[in-house]
Amino acid sequence: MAYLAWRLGAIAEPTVLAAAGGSTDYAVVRGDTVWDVGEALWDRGGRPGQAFAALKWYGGEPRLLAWRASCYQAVEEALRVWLEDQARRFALESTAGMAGWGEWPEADTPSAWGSVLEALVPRWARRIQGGVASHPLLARWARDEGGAHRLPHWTLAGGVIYAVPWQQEAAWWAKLPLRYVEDPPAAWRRRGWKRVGDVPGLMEQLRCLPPAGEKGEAPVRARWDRELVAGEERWEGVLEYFGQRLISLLAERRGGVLRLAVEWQGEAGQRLRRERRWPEAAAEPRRVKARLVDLLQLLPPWPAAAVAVEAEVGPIAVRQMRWWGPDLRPAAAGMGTDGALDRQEVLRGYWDPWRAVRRGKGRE
Amino acid sequence: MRAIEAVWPDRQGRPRGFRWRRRYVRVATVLESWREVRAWWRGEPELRCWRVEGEDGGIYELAQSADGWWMLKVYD
Repeated sequence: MAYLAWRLGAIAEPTVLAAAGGSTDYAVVRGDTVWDVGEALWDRGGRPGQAFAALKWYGGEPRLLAWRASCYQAVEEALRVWLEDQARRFALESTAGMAGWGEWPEADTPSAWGSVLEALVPRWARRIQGGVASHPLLARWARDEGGAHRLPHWTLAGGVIYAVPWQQEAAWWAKLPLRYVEDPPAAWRRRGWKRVGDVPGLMEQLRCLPPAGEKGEAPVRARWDRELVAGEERWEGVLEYFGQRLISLLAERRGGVLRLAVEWQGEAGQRLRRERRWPEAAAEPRRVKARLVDLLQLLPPWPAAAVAVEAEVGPIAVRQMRWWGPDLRPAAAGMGTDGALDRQEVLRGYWDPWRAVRRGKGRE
Repeated sequence: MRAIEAVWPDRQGRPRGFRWRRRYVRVATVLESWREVRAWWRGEPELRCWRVEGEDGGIYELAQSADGWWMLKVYD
């Protein structure tokens, strides 16, 4: 068990505490969502992330404070710096309750988690609800629903931590609700699938995929050089050569391409380097080749003496994958689109030089 | 157009960082900004739009209305 997912309450934010006027019975509300609660409300059952309307079930007369982005900015930035230093991987899911998860590989007993938890509570907040498991999806689920499923737990000053026993993990994986999987395809819902165990092959894939966090695995770097024979080769051949190598590397690493660099050497010995980094990994062969073409077309025209390609491979996110296909494998990874253009996007297409002119049918 | 959970603006109201798809993106450069008068006859609010380059290398278009912040487009 190496992952801890948490949700904090009564976050140590001076402006909020000042606005609460010393009371511990308060709720910070943004829209229809509770963003933070004081100790008194937390102890009665109120939690950050709940609907505002749900507060009525917890009694009392909590003071309602309006959420402001500036309130939690300092705490979140400080928490991020601490996680970057302490955790092997981490992700902050939501500003509501500073929910997030982190990986501490050496922590496998409650006492080993003690030092981590002491750093979270009361340093950043005075209440915590956590989940511990061998995967962040399970840890998040244990954090949110561990009490309802009577998972083993231990208590500490200001909170409770639920643990998923490793001997029973396979059973809990099958019961994991699909809402914990990022952006599950709508087709799954239409088929009536609600849990990970309902989707064929999904559980095995999720268990072996490295979780994508803010501080992930170090990217894998690869480099291929190729001497070219003048008059015998063309860019198509170069593209095919590098493209195939890149695609097989991605399949082997179960990742996507994050950065590409192309080095070109002319016949007179001159060298040129073009490089680009993308915010999200792409693993689908068509998209990988498109990224390669993007760079190759920045190079001078043929002929060339040698070309080298350097690639950086990183993890692909669950939401980027197409799970349901003929081979039930996460084969595709690319940026999603919303499909039809709305009216405003069509209008932007008329004047914005960043947008290609598209004569699509607008949706009113 | 999708809602953005949190945006941290600077004193001029320009986005300095935002949270998108469970990641914090720090803004490296504001490339452009403009205002859009939308279908006001249907009650759609005016948008103040920003095209920014994130430190992750992505280009994002953010919009601010009276309701909050929205993501218009992410360039690959």
